Amino acid sequence: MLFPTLSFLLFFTVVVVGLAMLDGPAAHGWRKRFLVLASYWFYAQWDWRFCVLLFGSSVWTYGAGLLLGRLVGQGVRKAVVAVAVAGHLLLLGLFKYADFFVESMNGLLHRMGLLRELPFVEFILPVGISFFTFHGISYVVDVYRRQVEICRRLEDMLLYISFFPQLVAGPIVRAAFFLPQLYASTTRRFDPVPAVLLILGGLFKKVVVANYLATDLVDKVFADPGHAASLDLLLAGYGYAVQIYCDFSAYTDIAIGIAALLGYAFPPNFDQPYRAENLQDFWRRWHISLSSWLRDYLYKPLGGSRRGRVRTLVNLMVTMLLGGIWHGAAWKFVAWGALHGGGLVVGRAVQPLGLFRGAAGRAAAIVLTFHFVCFAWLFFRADSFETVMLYLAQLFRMEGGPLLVTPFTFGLIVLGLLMHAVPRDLVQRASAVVRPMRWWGLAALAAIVVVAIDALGPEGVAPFIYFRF
Amino acid sequence: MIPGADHRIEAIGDGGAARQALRLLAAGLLVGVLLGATPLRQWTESLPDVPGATALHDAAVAWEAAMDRLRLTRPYTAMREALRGLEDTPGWWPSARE
Repeated sequence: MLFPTLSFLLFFTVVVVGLAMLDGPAAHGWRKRFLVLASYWFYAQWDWRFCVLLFGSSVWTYGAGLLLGRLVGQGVRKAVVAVAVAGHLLLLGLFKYADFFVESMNGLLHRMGLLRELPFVEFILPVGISFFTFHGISYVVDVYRRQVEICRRLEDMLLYISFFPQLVAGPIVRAAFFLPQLYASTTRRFDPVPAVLLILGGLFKKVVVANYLATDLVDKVFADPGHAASLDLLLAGYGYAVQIYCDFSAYTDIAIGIAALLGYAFPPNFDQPYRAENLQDFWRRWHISLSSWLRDYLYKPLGGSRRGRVRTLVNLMVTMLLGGIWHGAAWKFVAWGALHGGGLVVGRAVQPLGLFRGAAGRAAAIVLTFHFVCFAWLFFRADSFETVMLYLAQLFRMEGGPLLVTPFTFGLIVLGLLMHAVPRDLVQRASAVVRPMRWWGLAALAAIVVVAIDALGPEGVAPFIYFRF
Repeated sequence: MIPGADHRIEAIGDGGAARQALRLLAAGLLVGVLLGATPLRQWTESLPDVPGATALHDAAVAWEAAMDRLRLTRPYTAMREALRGLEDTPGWWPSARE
């Protein structure tokens, strides 16, 4: 069930009606149980069997937390957290990476001249498994580090892991951020204006910008890059950078807005990533909840930057390689992570040289970083390495006039980049303008905008890119 | 569009967020049903073959016809057609005109 659909609107309406009926401190527990049920029903729309997995993962996390709370000895606590994390990684490995491992091993065996093949497991990839296992890992590690209060009620843990706005594509909300909101006996009353504006902005980015860029340009070019003109290829590269930003940040905006309407806050996940001056800066602005997760639960435990220059660079590379494969079980994601890791390593190495000074230097750094990120996106988007090679070979052939690029798709790329670069306080400023309206005026305006976005969008709604991770 | 750093939505007091959301949704749905009769009918066409789906579709078709008589479906259709026109505009460069 996708956010920009009438089915989701219907589901959300039922949730809101249910919660409104359970309002007040006395019904606090029932409200959470109702939200758990709604979240599991939402998840079951993909495949009800995934719910068993989600429940098992939550119970595992909950049990590990309780056990860690009872134990005192550091050695035993360490063993428990190691087993808990291993359990999560095993689940992720089995469902997400088992077939990738078998395929890679079979390829290796073939190259070695061995005809024997390992059998494929053929598990269906549960939607959002990467996200909910990362939620679980962060909770048990934070409990071990005594950075979060132990969750004593199973319903709180079930809701933390399964809360439907963030269940399938994040943001990865830390337990220390979210659980205290569940412990409060009343949901906080939020200013609905920014929430509504975020949802509307997200819908526009996804339904109009990202979907049209995908259907009218990017998908066509990447389906057959060998027969595309150079300018089509170049603009499809930029187009994908805009598409993935508009797609994923739209999901986050809608998730934040929906959660806010239900009385819960989520952390931000994007901050104008294509204005980054270097890759380190990019990762502070792109998918912030994942990059900060990788920093706190992988890079720092590996030693971070505390163990000398070489070890720092190795840690960066390992973190980005694993960050790459987190996105998907394919070598192209490893290559994407390796490119970012290599870029971070080179960036660190040349940083002392101070190559990009002054306003012109900063502008050059932004352009350079943006193009590096666009280049790395090719691996992310293409079906295979062969497609990337074909793309690059055809691009540098400098042949043929553009056939797929139209004023419309070109305009969408420009529009997407402009939307990405709007002032940081736009929501607040727009809210100040809209706030004097009566609540029914805001609702009517929002409905008109939603209908308009649907009219402007292409037929059907493509799934969010990050749903497959 | 709207950068992440400013996505924090501040609480303005205690009380029912859901009741607040329900009021907004109810009013929004009312306007949406009036202006969005066409997407509503299209949505019923995509429903799986479950009991009541045909009746829902028939009701949506009748509702769209009623809204059409009141000219309330026109803005939706006009916007859709305008965007299709924009989408089909060829480039001014020679290769696009061949």
